[in-house]
Amino acid sequence: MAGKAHVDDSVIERRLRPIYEWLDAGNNKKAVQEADKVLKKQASLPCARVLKGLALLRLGKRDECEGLVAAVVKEAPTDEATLQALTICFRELHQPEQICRVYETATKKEPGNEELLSHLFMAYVRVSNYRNQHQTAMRLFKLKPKNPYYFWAVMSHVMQGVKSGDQKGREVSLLLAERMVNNFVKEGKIEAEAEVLTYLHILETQGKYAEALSVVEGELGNKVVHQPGNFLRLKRATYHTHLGQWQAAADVYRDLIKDEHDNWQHYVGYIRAVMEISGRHSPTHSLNPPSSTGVCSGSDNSSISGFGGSDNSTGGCGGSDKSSVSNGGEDSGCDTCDKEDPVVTAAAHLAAVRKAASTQEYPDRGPFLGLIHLASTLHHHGDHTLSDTLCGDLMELLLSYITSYGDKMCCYADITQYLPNLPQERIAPFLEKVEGLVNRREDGVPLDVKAMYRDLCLVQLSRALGQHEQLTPQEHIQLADSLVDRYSQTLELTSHMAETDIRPGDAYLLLAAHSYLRGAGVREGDTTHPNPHVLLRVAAILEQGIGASRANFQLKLLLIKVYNMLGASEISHAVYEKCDLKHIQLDTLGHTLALQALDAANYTAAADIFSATLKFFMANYKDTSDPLISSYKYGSLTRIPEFVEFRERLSNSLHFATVTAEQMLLDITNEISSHSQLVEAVSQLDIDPATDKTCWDDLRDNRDLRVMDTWDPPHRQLQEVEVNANVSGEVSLLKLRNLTLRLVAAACRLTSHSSSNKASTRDHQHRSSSTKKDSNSECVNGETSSATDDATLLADLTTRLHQESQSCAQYRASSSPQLPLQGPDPSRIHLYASCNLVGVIVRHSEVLQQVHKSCTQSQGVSGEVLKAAKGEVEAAVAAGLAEAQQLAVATLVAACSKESAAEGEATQRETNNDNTFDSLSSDLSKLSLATSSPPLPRHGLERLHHLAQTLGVAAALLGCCHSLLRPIKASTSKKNKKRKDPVITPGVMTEFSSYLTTLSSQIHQLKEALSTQHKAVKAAQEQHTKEEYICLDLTSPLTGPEDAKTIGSQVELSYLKSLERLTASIANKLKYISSLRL
Amino acid sequence: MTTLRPFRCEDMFHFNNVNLDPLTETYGLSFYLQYLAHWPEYFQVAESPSGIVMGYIMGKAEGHGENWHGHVTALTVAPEYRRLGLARQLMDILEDISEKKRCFFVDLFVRVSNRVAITMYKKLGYIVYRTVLQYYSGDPDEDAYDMRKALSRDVYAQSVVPLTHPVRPEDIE
Repeated sequence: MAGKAHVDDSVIERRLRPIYEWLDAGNNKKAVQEADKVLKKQASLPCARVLKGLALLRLGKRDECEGLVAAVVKEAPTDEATLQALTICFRELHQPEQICRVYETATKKEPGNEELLSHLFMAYVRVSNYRNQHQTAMRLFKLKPKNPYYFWAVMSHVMQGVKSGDQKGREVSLLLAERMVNNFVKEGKIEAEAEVLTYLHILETQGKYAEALSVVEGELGNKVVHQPGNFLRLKRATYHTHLGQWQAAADVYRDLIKDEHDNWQHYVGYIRAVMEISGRHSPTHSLNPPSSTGVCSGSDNSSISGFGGSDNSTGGCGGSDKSSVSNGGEDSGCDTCDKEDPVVTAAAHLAAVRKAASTQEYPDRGPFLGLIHLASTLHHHGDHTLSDTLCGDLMELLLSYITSYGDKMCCYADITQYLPNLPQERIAPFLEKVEGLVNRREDGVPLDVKAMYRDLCLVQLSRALGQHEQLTPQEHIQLADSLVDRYSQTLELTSHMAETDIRPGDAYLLLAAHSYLRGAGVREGDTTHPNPHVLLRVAAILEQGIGASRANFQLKLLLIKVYNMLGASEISHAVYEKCDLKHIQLDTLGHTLALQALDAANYTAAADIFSATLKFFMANYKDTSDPLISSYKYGSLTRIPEFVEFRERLSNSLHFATVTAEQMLLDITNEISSHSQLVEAVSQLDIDPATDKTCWDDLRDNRDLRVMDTWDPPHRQLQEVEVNANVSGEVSLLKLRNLTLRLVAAACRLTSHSSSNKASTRDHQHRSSSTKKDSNSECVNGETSSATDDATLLADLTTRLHQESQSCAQYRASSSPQLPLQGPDPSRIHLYASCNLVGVIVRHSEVLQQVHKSCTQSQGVSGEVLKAAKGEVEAAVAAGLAEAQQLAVATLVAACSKESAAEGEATQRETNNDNTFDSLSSDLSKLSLATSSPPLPRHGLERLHHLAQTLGVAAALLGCCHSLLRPIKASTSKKNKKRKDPVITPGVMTEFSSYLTTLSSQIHQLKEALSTQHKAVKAAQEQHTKEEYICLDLTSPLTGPEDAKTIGSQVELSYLKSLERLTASIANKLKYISSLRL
Repeated sequence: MTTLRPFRCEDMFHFNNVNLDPLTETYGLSFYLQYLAHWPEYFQVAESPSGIVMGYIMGKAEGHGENWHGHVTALTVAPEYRRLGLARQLMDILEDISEKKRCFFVDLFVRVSNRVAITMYKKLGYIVYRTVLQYYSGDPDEDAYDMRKALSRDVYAQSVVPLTHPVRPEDIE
């Protein structure tokens, strides 16, 4: 019999193979055909049916797939092939819990099947059902007493604990896990390294460092054989540190330094331990005592609520301060009274390490920096004299470091954290000496590449030490000019470098760009706008830099920012594409360009970026599930909590939530031009008007705000408080967005009920009430009751939207703060709130509610209420329109007048153009010193975009009104005999119609205004092109008329495209609203 | 001067200063996570004193019998931290772990045009074992050098006798 079965199996396998092949090749049609062929011969073959279902699913026929699959599931299959196919199907149907059901059934049928049970375990892993994981693992272990199964159960306990909401449950689960391992240890059953690591992980999670220490130092430690050489010693040092056993910790770290004198964590641990022994307790839990205040200092700026609480992620010894204070003194007691200060010994030790290292041919930096770290830490504790005696003068130490490593690109980054300890009065002499290290030609230009690095280090240090703080805008620009000069003069020194390398001189351009932007008034307060002429100049210079150094992403990121400031998102997008961002970078660097493209009405680019971003996030669960399963399979159990945390951090990404909402809003506003389109679009989106699934408290800011270089002094760098404020702004906007979306969905649902009610056929009623999942209430009048619910919901959402927008009043008052360049763009809430557009949505929703009431309640609502609401709406929209019209004119004229101003100056210069450079810099300074530059076109575009979207929402709500009113109008005009139809005062109809007329004419005006703007910009652009952008002077040592031509035309073309898209969007609204006539 | 430690998932939130370099590929999540799940000890990161990711190495152990070897999947260092010996330190860890896993050799693939990397690997004791034709897809496709270094278990260094003829990608086992 077995033989026969075997033959059957191989025959089946041969028959199925082509289906798999077509599926793998992505040809799903062929796969369906092939499956049908097999099913003709063997109609009941379950695997073929599932594979057919899978192919159908991939062809978009979800229903057919679900039908096929459900039938197979009912037959409770147990064969591997069918189950695997079902697993794939359910994964793609996003129903992982169904995989559990299938294997539960299968294992019930074959309880002794190890394979099936382990699949069941993995199915539970997929859905994070830790309790069932544990039970299944224990069943497996009883079936086959293999260690991995036992540890699967252990780890399931751990996860149950780690993810447990309450402290008590957490403790119990972890304790259970620990006991399970303890039993195994006692019985001498521990076999593998992975098991020991799991044990350590459990003890660490519970803070049982003494126990962990004895594990590492005992027999079990010998089982750790595949880890890096320092693994066990580092563990010991960490545990001693946690236990406040500072002497022991210091001893281990000292040994580690001896063996690995370039591994920085050993120095940090050693110096901290020594400081503790000597009674100098670290005031904070920071691992880097003298760290600067900026976000860049290494704190992990991820959590929205607890910004600073991320040090535990650096794997260090944070959080043990309590024990350190009590135990530290005890430990150090005998040391301090009998012997000399342990700091003295440490200094001597570090000095010896340094001396030994200096004999190397290429000395490692660690030993040199170790001593500086100690000196700096002592300074931080106020032990200035001791520091000088033991380590030498800090300034001299830094100087000698720069002497040795100033010709490396990383020199500045190595020492930046120690700069704040340099006394104010020594800064000038310090920089003078650094200057002395730069080998220059007669004209001051660095002699070679090494000198170039030293020169750059000097400029960077000067900036960080506040030497550029007192410069006037004009001086900033002069400094920037000189740096661009320096770049050009040194370009040939690096001409031999490979194209894939970053040219050292690029840093001159970055420093120059920062100075230009500073001089141009970026971040010079809230009232001035950065000077567009300087922005264009910086853009031209950065473009040149990128041309010469294609690998330099710093230049690219900065250039994206500059184009964004100009609102020229068409070109930012081009640069963005050069960065080739993908996967997780779409989250961490999504802040460089995504929403900016949307707000500048660059809907194509926005849609591209959004789609890639959402695809990444949607795949997150699938992408992280398989590795999670692998962790169990390969025994890397300690990675499991990390993977789960990672997955959750991604799914709670604020950027993800924002892009999701913005994409939906775009879907229901941009291209919609009729009510049926809207209803269709809303139904596609699956918005639940009743609940918002966002976990507001868990939202995470995953932006990488450290990637961009900055050399500003600490106080000028991005501050935590700024990031927090920025995040709150984004969260507030997201709340408004989500409420708006739910409101539109509620409105659509309300009218769909009512319209089917009006049709008054039983079929409709049944269908509607059955589609509404949660209407389990009275079926007799189910239709009306759920419509009432929806009306209540709509009213509730309207109130909440209103309240939420009231709480955003603070943003309306203040204009958006420009953050340091390394930071994110200003939060969008400022501009949105200042447009007062939420009111328009709220009023339109009120109109809808009034209309709904007058349609459903037998007593007709008086036209007065509607009239009042209408009055407000009209006023709000009219105000919005006026503002937008005026802004549109103002901004774009501003853009042109800037050009004409420049033109005027250009002609002036022609008369005395002997000294181009001088006149240029004076022009620039004149421009930058203007007290208030005109607002950039960017803000105008953004306001118009928000207005267009709001009009889209208003149109949707009016469309809903229309679908309520139309049937009544039809019935009254037909003099319908149905007496039970609500009585509507004719006033409502008239009011509504007249309102539509007014609104249409307003939107029409807006459309015309936009067309006029477009024409004007187009004419200007054509004129400029003809004149080869002579009016735009972007001359610098690096750039000339050619650059003005390229940049000028690209920027203007970008504006033109934005205007085109806005006009199209407004035209859609007009079409929509015009179609609503009764 | 750097902190060498195991790579963690959250490092992906700020490895941009390494990965934005055009020569470093950013892979999908599952790629990194599968390495972390399967060969966690082979995935190490170098971190600067201020917490900046300076570079990282990803690798694995695979093969049967005398082909059991360590493999360097990715080795990358941020531009400003190049030429400081960081790659050597990262390679040391990988070789050390491969020794502990009783591997016979360590191998890696490199673009034939990447002179800088090839020179560095040669300094670290790697030899060009064979050329793999059109290993890197692109326009045009590029050949790879399969470079190897024998470990102590391969006493007679049999794994590093260079092949005389190039192979095709489908012929690599």
